[in-house]
Amino acid sequence: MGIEERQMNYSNIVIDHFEKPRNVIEGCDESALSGRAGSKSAGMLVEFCLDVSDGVIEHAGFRAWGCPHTIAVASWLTEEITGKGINEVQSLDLDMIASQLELPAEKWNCVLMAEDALRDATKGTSH
Amino acid sequence: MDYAATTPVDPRVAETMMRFLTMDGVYANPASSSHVLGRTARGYVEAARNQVAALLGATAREIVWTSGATESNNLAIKGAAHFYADKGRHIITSRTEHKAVLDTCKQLESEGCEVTYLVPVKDGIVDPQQVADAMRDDTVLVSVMHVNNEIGVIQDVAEIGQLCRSRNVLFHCDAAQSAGKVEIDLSRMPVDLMSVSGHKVYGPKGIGALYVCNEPCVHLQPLIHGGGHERGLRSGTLATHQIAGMGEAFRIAGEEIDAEGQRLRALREKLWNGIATVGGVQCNGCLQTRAPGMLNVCFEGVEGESLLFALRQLAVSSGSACTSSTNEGSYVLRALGRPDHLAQSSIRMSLGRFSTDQDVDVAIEVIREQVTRLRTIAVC
Repeated sequence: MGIEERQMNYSNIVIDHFEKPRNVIEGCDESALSGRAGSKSAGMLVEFCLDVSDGVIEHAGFRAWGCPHTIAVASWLTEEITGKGINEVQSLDLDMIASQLELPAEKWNCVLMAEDALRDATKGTSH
Repeated sequence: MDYAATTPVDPRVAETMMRFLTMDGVYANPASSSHVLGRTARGYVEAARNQVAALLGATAREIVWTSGATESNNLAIKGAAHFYADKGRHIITSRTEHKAVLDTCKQLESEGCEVTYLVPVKDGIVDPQQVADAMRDDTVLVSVMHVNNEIGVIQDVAEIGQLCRSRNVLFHCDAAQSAGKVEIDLSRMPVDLMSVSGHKVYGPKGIGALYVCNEPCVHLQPLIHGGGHERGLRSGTLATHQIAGMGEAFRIAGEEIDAEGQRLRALREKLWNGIATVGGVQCNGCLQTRAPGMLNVCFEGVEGESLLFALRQLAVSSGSACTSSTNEGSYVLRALGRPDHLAQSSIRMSLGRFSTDQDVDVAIEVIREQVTRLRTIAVC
C-alpha cells in the first residue's frame, strides 16, 4: 500500500489522536490497574493504566507501539472510559468505537487489541 | 526525498520532448523511411540512442528501446533463458533484486527453469564467490543488480561479470538505479545485458532501454512481435518524444555525474549525521559503497507505518507494507537478516538533482522530532 493510499485511510479523528495523543503515560503506579495486549512481532502492542476508585475509572493512561490507528484507538479510549465504571469498560461496543474513529475494516483489529488490553487491566475486578 | 522511486522531468528534457509533440514538430513515424519526415524522426531516435550509449560506454547498436526497466529486465532474462534453453535452464540471481527480476525468474521457474537465489552478506553486497559457488554446468544466466533500489548499495558487477565471462555464462545487470548516478563503462565492464530506465534519470516515464552486448554477440528471443523494430528484439512504433527525452536526460546526466555525485554525497552524509544523533538508528546496507543520494535507515523503538505517516511531509518511502494481514517488513531488509520490527521501521530517503541543503535541514529536524515523539508513546 503506498503512502497516498494509506493517508486516505486515516480519518481526521485518527490523525488528531495520532498527532496529539491524550493521556500518554511514562509508567504505571503499583496501585493502578494495568494491562497489555499484543506484541511487537504481531505489529501492535497496547498498554493501559487505570486509576480506579470505588469501581470508577478516575484516570486512564496508555502507551502503544503500532500503526497510527492503534495509537489513535488507545488514545481515544482513555478519554472515553474516564469516569466510567469498570463494568462498562468490560462491555465496550466494538462497532461504536470503530464507527466513532471511522476505521477501515482492515484496522478493526486495532480495536480488538485495545479491548484485550483493557480486559487484561480489569481482569479479576468485580464491581 | 523519494528520487529513487522516480524523478521529475528536467525542464531541459521537457523542452526537448516538446519538439516532437506539436503539429510543426517532428511527429513522423521513425520507421517511415520513404519520406524525409520519417527519416528526420529516425535521425533523432538514433541521436538519442547515441546519447544513452555514451553514458553507458556502449555503442549505439547495442541499445534497444523498451518501455522501461521492467520490460528490459523481462526481455533480458526471459529472452536469454528462452534463446539458450538448449544450453541449460539454471539461473542465478539474488534475493534483494527488484521484483521485475524476481517475478520474471518466478515465471521462468513455472516454465521449468531452476533459479538459485543468493542471500547477500550482511551489508547487502553479493560476494562474487557466492556466484562462483552457485554456478553449475547448466547455468545460462546470472542477474545481479548494480545499485539496490531499497538500500542503495553498489554491487561489484565488474567482478561478477568477469567471473561469468570466464565461465561462458551470460550476465545481466539491472542498472535502473545506477545509470547517471554511478559511473558505468561497459567498454571495460564485462556485462552482457543491462537494463536502464528514463524516469530515474530526470527523463520521462514509459521509456527505457536494454543494452545487448554485441561483442561477444548476445542473442535473445523477443517478447513482443510485430514489425521487427529494434533489430527484431522489440517490435512496436518507436515513441520519438520519449526516446528523445531519455537521450537528453542521459546526456545531461553524463555531463553532471561527477559534480552531482559529489554534491549528493555531501548532502547524504549531512543527512545521516543529523539523523544519527537521535540515537537507536542503524544504516541498512554498507554505508560506504552506495549510490550518492541514497540512504536507508531503521529506527529502533518505532513502528513502521506510524513512522512513515509521521514523516509524510518529507515524502520518504518504506519497503514495508503494513496491513492487517501482514506485518512483514521489506523483503530486501529481511534478506539481510533484519528482524521484522526493524525492517518495518526502516525508511528510504533518496536525494536528487533538486534536493537542497535546506531540504536536508528540514528532514533532520522533522525526523528527530517525530522519532522522539513516537518513542515517547511507545511501550517496550
